Amino acid sequence: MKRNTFFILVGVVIFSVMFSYIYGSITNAQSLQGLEMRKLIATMTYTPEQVAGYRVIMYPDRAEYALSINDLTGKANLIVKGKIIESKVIGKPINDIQFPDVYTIFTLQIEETIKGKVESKTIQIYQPGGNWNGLDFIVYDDPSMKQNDDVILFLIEVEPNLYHIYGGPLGRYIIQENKVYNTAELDSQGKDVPSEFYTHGCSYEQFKKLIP
Amino acid sequence: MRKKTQWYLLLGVTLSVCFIINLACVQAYLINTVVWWEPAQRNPNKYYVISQWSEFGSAVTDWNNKNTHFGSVSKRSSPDDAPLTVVRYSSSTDGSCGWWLCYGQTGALAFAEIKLNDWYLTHGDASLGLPLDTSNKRKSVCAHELGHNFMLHHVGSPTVAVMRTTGSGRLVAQIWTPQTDDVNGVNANTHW
Repeated sequence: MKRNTFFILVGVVIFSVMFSYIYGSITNAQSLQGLEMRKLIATMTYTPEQVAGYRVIMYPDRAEYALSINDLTGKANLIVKGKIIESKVIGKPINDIQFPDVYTIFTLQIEETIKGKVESKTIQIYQPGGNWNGLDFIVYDDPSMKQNDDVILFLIEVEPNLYHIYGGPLGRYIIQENKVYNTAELDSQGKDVPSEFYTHGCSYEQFKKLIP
Repeated sequence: MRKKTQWYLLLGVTLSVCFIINLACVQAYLINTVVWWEPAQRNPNKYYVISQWSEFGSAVTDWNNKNTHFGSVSKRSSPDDAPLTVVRYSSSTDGSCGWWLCYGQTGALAFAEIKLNDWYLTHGDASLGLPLDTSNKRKSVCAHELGHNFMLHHVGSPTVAVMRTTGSGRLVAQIWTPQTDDVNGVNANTHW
């Protein structure tokens, strides 16, 4: 009886030590997962399966702002109405720690120039974020534009023929069924846009009257 | 009978010791490695600097002095021990003084990064307080990005907070430290 109890006791101790070791390994592996994934994402060597259910969210502290559509008009170099006809996501690794630089270049076919001058019938628009190899890089307040979107954009030229949208969602309007809306009115992702920029589905002609 | 009781007692004590050893392993993991896998929603509080504005350390001190429920943020010398990375860069294209980026899924963040945009050190709209040509202005951006790291979102006008965006009227020359609203936000978000 004594010998049996001793063996049971030894068995319990061995089992507990092994369990501690295995459990410790598992939790350690979980903790490493984050940093290992950081390297895979930084070097853009992850697979869609590895990032399924995950995303990168980007919060900008914007250096551009306007108080009204009137003010926005004054700050933009170029205001155009057109259609997004093409998009290309660019991804550039920086090192093996940092998030890669992921952005989308959209081609806009210009239908009407409301302010400014542009030689070409198409221009390129830079927007941070995009989907790279199954992983969404999402700007918190600025949903990605989509191909075939009919848009009115308030733009700043950053390079010849390359523009970015002034103030992100602030300077971006979408036309649906001949009605004009600020992005934030249609997509709750455009959270940081004040109601002064809402157009409540006015017609394009009415919208143009808001632009001095 | 008495001997049998002693054996059971010994068995109980041994099992308890093993359980405590087990628990200690778990706690060590929680304390020493990436805490924010578990409990969910916990954010990185250790950071590694690739490059930074000198005001970043001061912004960390300001937040730490607020003694939020989140706890102190501290610098690490190895990226392997720091889920948060801080880096300077320069871009005239992205329209932002700074960024906070994170990777994760709902309820669990894995790692994050603060980016400070050098381009606005010498450029930017004067009506928004730019460029970032004083120490307090740069500190304002650092404090704002750290606020995201404590799970804070942007707030709108007229709230007096470092979490207003530069654009929505947080004049970087006027608010450069965490305000009451910011601290209340962190404490409300932090349930540990």
